[in-house]
Amino acid sequence: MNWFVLLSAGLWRRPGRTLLTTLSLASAFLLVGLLFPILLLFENRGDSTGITRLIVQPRHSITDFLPINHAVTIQGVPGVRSVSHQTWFGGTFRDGTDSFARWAVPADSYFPMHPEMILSSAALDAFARLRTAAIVGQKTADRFGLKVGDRLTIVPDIWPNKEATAWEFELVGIFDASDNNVDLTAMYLNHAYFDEYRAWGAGLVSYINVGLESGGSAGDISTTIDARFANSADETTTSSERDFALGFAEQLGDIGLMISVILGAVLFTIALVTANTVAHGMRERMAEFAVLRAMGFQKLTTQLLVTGEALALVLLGALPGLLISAVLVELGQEYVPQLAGIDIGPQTLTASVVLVLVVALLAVLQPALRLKRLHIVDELRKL
Amino acid sequence: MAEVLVDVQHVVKRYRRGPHVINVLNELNVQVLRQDFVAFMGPSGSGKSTLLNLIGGLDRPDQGRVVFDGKDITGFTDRQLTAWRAEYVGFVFQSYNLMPALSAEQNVALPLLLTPLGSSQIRQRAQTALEIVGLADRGSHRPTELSGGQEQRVAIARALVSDPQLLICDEPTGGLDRSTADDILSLLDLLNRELGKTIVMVTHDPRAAGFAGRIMHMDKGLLMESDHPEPDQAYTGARR
Repeated sequence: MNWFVLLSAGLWRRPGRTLLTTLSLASAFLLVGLLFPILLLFENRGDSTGITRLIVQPRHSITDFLPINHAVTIQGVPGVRSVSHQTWFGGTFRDGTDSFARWAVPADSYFPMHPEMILSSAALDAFARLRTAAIVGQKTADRFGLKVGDRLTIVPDIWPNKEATAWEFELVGIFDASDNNVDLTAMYLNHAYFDEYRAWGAGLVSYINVGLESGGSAGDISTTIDARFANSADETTTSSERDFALGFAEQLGDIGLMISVILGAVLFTIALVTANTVAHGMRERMAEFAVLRAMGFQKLTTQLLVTGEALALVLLGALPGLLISAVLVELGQEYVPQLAGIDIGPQTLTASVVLVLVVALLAVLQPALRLKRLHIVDELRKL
Repeated sequence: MAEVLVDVQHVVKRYRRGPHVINVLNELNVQVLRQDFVAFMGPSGSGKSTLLNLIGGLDRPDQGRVVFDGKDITGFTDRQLTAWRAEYVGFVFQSYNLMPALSAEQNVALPLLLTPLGSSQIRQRAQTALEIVGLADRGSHRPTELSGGQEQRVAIARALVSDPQLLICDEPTGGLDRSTADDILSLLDLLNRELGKTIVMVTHDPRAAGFAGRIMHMDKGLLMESDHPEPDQAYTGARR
């Protein structure tokens, strides 16, 4: 006999109830594990630590374009090492059920700036040499059974060509990636060909990519770039690639606020569920606690016992919930590139530990007060 | 002359029921000797259970003192009184009050969690206590797997296990049939005679009281009379 046995006996006195509560808690902590890291991403926006690349976009709308000449100006900003650009190509591939991004990029600057894209030198050479060259990520190649040498036909929407026909490209390479941030479903087309052959908009690009000198301050450089184009016809907004992606997501609304509200509701619910279970258990066991007190258990001891039970209950739910969320996040990153960078790191774990403690303490608040006021004789008389 | 273990001096206890104040004990004086086996009898509301709670340190008098082995326990803080109960008092209740989720042995071992004993020592002492009450082979059984008499034996083992001087028994045979009740009372008698435990018992049952060395009759918060059961009393199995 030891304290653990006593605690465990209280916890599993009603196995069905404990199991159901544990499942509720596991579901709640699964949500916490999935949503909290995303919330952190939004909360940490603007943090320029470790930023090596920036994206310059039109200030007012993502459907606007920037003049390619901006790249020359940006190249002159102190701290900028290299400049490239990318333009959303759009169009329809095959039967239109595809859902992958297609970008027109310059061969000479885009790929050197993105070394995490793994592409053979032969493919790189071919992309630079062949004006109709295209490369695709491994996932799209696998999905459509594409191989080097295939002809790719894309029916235009935004960008008709000068002959008002479908665009034809030749697949010269299939790229892989060294980290999860690369979208392995994307297709890249030769910008020189695209720019020359499009029916309108020559010299316009969607975004300008900026590579930074090591040690350069991403925040200062962003400010300088935007200041250079302030009050011009083509004002800019410069941000890190991560913040750019988050900004893209926030077109749906204030994602951070939405997640905060959901997490708040989850918290409130698990606190109520746990408090309800602990309170029910207590009500049934007041006489048992009176007997323990009669035997010589101090008030504080019984209160600690109930707190331990509540803590164990919350942990029983939290651990599997967080574990499953970690697995899901890991699996999700394999299939959803937008989840790249999200992980259950120390901040989420710390927050979860705090959450476990807060929920357990909230749950035992009322039972602990009842134990404090417990009158042994009155409780024993009820038996 | 036997030494006084519990000395209840001029104790008054009142309860408030709404606007009414009920005097449960009125200037009561009782002495329980070391190794005594005392039974308190009386009608409902006579104050016997209240007296039992005061002697066991579960409640405090409004006036007067309860002195245990020369120490005035009425002056103890709640913490001191709780620690005192753990050391000196074992309780046996009418409804056994065993924890359903624990085995018989674990129930018996509960009071030992408050001692510095290690797990193996706790187990050993719990087994010894179960042996004393004749349930050595029932240690792994849950209360629901035991009969009423066996449950009460486990409760007695639990009261014994920390080797207290005083056993407080509140209607210990109230829910048992005659034969089982006699077994339990014989066990209490044995604990009193062989282990020297001082036993204070409350009962409605004259037959149960017959097992005690002294019977005290209470009514309206007062001690009416005190007597010793006669050897020729008709209670089968009663103390002789």
